[in-house]
Amino acid sequence: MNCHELELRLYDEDCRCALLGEAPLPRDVQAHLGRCPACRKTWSDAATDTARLSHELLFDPPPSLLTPPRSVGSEQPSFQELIGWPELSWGLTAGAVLATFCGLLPAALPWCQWTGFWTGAAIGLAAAVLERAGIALFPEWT
Amino acid sequence: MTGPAGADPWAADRALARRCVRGDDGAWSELVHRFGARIYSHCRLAGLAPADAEDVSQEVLVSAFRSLGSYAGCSLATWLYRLTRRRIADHFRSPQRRLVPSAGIGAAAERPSGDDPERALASAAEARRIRHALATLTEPARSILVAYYLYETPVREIAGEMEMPVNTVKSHLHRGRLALRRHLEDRS
Ligand SMILES: [Zn+2]
Repeated sequence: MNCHELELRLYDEDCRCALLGEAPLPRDVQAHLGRCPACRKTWSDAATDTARLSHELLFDPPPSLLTPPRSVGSEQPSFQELIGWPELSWGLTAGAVLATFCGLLPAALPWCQWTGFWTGAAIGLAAAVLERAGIALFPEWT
Repeated sequence: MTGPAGADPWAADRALARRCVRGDDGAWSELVHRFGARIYSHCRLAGLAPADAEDVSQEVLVSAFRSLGSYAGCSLATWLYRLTRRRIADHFRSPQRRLVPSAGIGAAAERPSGDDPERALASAAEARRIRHALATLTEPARSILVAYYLYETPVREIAGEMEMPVNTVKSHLHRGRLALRRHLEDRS
């Protein structure tokens, strides 16, 4: 690592944590600092700046901002907000899985796969929409 | 800080968002307490007057609540940063906006009072100097510094948001930070 590389390395997350004293120095950085007094100064300046910029850029917000209006908490999402591409994808995937499964059955009839597809799609779509609406089917998984 | 390590670096953020969508008041309070000050500060640092900053921050939070169901693919901090940035841009396009001179950005006496008034005053003065110095930076350096230091957004996510290479973001951060430092040294 050269001095320019160290300058850029300062902004990686492991270095941010080290600059804030929340994590040990990464090994490559430590090796360079051990032999380069100029970069030791760079590191020390960066530590000062990281601590003060995180703190000093914050304004105290007005108290009203920290109290969410009741209307926000009680609003329900609209129909359009409940069905998007992720929900449709889940529906199609579930339909495809069930159709494939029906096709593998030994006594599968031609209409069996289509029935499987639409049943699976309906179940998949409904589950995804319920999940987005906030009615989790398996709350312990989230 | 949310460190992106492991299989799903944003699992905690996604869980919080899900709880908010379900109408969990505690989760919503947690989100507002974690990000409310950053959103408001972002507005003030962009040059909005206090009343406008409050209005825009409220709009951001309402908009966040409505669209949290579609949150994915980044940290909540980055997602809210993006939302706030758009709202601020909308605000500057609106004819009703109140303009604040750049010298006024750091002028508000809004620092924690604390037990030691002298120390609190010194801290307030330092904060004003830093905010004023930030206002002298040009774009995109100013936005990048706000994302990195205020929202604690990782460089990789800033690069995605700004559509520029990671090393370009780092260079902006480095030059911006050194410019702030020079500005503060000249003034002291
Ligand atoms: Zn060096």
